[in-house]
Amino acid sequence: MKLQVVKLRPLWYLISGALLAFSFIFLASWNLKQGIEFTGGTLMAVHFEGERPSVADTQSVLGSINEDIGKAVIQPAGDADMQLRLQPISEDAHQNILAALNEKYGNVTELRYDGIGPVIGKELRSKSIRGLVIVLLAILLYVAYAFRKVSAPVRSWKYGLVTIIAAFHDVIVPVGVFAYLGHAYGTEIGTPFIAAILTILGYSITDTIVVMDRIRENLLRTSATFSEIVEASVHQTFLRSFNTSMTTLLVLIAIFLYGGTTLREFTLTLIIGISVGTYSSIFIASPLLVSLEKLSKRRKK
Amino acid sequence: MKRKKKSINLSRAAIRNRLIWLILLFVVAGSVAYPNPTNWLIEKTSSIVGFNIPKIERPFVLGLDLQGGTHLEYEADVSKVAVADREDALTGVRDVIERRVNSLGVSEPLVQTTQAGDSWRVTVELAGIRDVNQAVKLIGETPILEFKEQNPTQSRNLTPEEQTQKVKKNAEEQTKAEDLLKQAQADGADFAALAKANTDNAALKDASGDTGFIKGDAQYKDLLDMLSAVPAGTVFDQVIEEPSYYTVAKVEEVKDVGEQVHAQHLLVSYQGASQSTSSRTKDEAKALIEDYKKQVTPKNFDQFVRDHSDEPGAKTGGGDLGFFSKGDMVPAFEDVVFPQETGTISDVVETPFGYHLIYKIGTRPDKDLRLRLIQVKKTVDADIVPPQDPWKSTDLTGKQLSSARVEFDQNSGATQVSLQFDKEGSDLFAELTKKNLNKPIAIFLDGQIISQPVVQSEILGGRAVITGNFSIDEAKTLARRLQAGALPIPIDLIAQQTVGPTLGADSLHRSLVAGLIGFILVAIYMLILYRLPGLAAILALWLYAALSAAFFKLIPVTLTLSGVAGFILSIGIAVDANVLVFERLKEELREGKTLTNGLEDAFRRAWPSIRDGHVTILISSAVLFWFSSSLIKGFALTLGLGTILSLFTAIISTRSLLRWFARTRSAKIGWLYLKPKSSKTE
Repeated sequence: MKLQVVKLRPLWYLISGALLAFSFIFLASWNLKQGIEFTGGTLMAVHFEGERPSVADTQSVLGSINEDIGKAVIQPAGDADMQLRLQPISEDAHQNILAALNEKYGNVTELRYDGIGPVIGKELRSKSIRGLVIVLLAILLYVAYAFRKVSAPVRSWKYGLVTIIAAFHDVIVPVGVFAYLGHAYGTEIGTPFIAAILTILGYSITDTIVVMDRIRENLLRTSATFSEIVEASVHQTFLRSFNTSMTTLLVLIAIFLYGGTTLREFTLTLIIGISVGTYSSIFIASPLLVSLEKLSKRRKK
Repeated sequence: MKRKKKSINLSRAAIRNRLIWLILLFVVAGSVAYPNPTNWLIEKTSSIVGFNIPKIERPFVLGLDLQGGTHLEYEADVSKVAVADREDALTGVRDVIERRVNSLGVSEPLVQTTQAGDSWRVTVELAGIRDVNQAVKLIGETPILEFKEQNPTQSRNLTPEEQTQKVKKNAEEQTKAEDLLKQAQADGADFAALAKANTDNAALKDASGDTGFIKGDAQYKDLLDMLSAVPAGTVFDQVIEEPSYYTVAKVEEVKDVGEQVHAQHLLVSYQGASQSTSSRTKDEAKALIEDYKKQVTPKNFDQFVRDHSDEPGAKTGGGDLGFFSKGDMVPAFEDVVFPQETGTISDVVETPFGYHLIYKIGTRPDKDLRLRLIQVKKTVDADIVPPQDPWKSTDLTGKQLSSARVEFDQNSGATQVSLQFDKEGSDLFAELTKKNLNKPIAIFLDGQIISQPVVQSEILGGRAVITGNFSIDEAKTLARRLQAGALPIPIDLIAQQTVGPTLGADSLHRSLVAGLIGFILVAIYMLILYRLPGLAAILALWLYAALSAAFFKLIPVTLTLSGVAGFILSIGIAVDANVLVFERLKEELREGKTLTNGLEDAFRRAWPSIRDGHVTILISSAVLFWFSSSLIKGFALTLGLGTILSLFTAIISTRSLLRWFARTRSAKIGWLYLKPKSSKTE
């Protein structure tokens, strides 16, 4: 039983189209929920030695310090931890909060404290965007370079184009998922998310390049039609793509399950991106190449 | 095709040699990564050969998020510094912060300056610090050392009109206070509310006039004496006139704190004793007081003191010390007078002031009070004619200081801080001392006067001494603060990230567990999928893990949580190259090639894909590294390093291993090498 990857391409286009459409709709309606790293603000995680108090109770303790601190968003976390999200506050206010909690509940230890000024937030945001653009450009250049020798019957820039489209596809889907998660569960994105997206870019392109390389090699060796060659190349690389992704996903799942909460957002992004990336390198990139070739043939006629 | 032939013809010995090199590499890398077994061997060998061979001791460098610590980011205000001097100013800031942080005793603090666009930043990383608040305060403080001379313009006196005006105002203020006293004494009056509404003392307003217990607080000494007989819960029935307030007082609480002693003393001092003007020697003084001791009785003590005591004012006061509490007098004096029986005269007592005889008149319970005060501001001269600052600034400041040290005075043994100025400071100091001969110069620290020595002579050479009543600790702190110097420009804390030690340890443990599980899962997967080549890949993975860990230690790479994640992720990438080769191997064997030929072709043909894939990952990690956010930097570094190392282990070591396997008997068993059943064995 052989899956007809090239022949069934309208189906893959439909699936990917739907994935992209949903992602765009999520992104447009809810946008990504930006974490304090980008907006500026304060995140405090505290651990209660005794019983964890209720959110409302904690809120009133914070409110007694001052009104602004009372507006903190409080979330229970883990077994006996709590996360407080606040506007940027001074170091004194930070100490006041700790003192107030300690006075009321006894042994309260601070697990972590992130206070990011609005300046830093703005800077990180623009840096993230610049990072994404630079990675895309650098990889585009490399792909064009790597495929410079291949010409007939598909021009080398088309390999590059297809690779970039697949990469774009692989990035949009996790972004859409996080737009949804932000809306439904308040999941925030920070620099780890950006790091994950950049890694996915690298991964996705690696995956696609492996298939493209095979097509390039087979073009030189056989005389079948272009779509036959693509079909054969996809099958030859299918197991490799699947197995590589599996080994990577295995370690990611291990980190996701056992690596603690801090890395969860990061690994989840990677798991989604790498899964989608494997799919797109097989079912989107290569069929797209065939479609492009058919398109240019039709034009010539 | 030349290359292909050459590799096939590699002799057994050559293959074996390569394998031995790889094993050696593994042992070396492994010993650096996990030195315990090697160190055990070294120890054994050392004891046998009787010669100490150094052990391998190179720890992993853990990031703040794994060992706990704080990351502080400051923005420096460079607006007042010329563009060309900004870098120097920042270096100055960094040095000062470094010195301050070092005084905290943090191990290997990291202080760096960075430029982000137009703004200059200083990042401070403190690992394993307990009191972040203290660190933040210490880093941000700006101790300013100033030398000032007397201000020649003095405050003028009040004019007669102003004098009348002041008296009139005082009368109004007193009436207001009397009125408040009446209100406070009325039935059911709420003193606290009255105090909150009416007190002019801003420091007590929020506490509704509550002073807390006041014993030992100099500003309340007079009130304590005056009110110590007033019972708790009573409003004192008069308005008390204080230097700057008309005060209505209520005693809220009374607490017994031991007893107070009333005593009278006779002093015989000698040359060299503290505050002494006497010219006797110590021995003479001793003889004299022994003589006095024989003459005095409780009855004649008062007159005797007036006639013979060296204490200034003894003629009129009779050496009467009034009531005093423990801690008011020097220890040698108190040790005698507190246990002494009332109505007796003590033996000779020696203190830094000289020799004493003490007559204990009586005792009373010592009280501490908690008061509530309504204080009405009293108009004083300074309110009408603003006081002239008695001191005038000079050009000499802490900037020209080159060192500050704690010293002890050679005569008195008193603790002092000695200062050494640089060239410019020495000149300024010489000029200043010349100008102010026989006049005082004041030394200010953070706007507080800490010493005002009188200039005895012009001082050349730029050495000055700050004396004062320092304890050794105070002097050390002062010297350290002066030595660290002031920040050349103001800084502002704009970001702070702190990870508690508990969370750090937990994260470290979790990521190690995750890494181990990931490693095992990948190993099982590879073994099931690729059999003997899979085993080779796992062995290569071991080499990869050992090499990476060794590199992390040797470079050294600061391992953060995200860095560990990058490393774990690179395990997945490390096998990617192997997967590519093995899939290729399957195809080559399917085409009917021999195992050795198939192996060589598989490696050769898979290479372009492997190279391209690794390059793209490297591009991503390079950009991520440039990102500079420390969290991501760690990830990028380990991922990038891992990608390069894995290229070596997955290609070179797996190939050598497989070449060797292919020449063993295992080659006969095609199943081990993924050989399709239909094809022939070699």
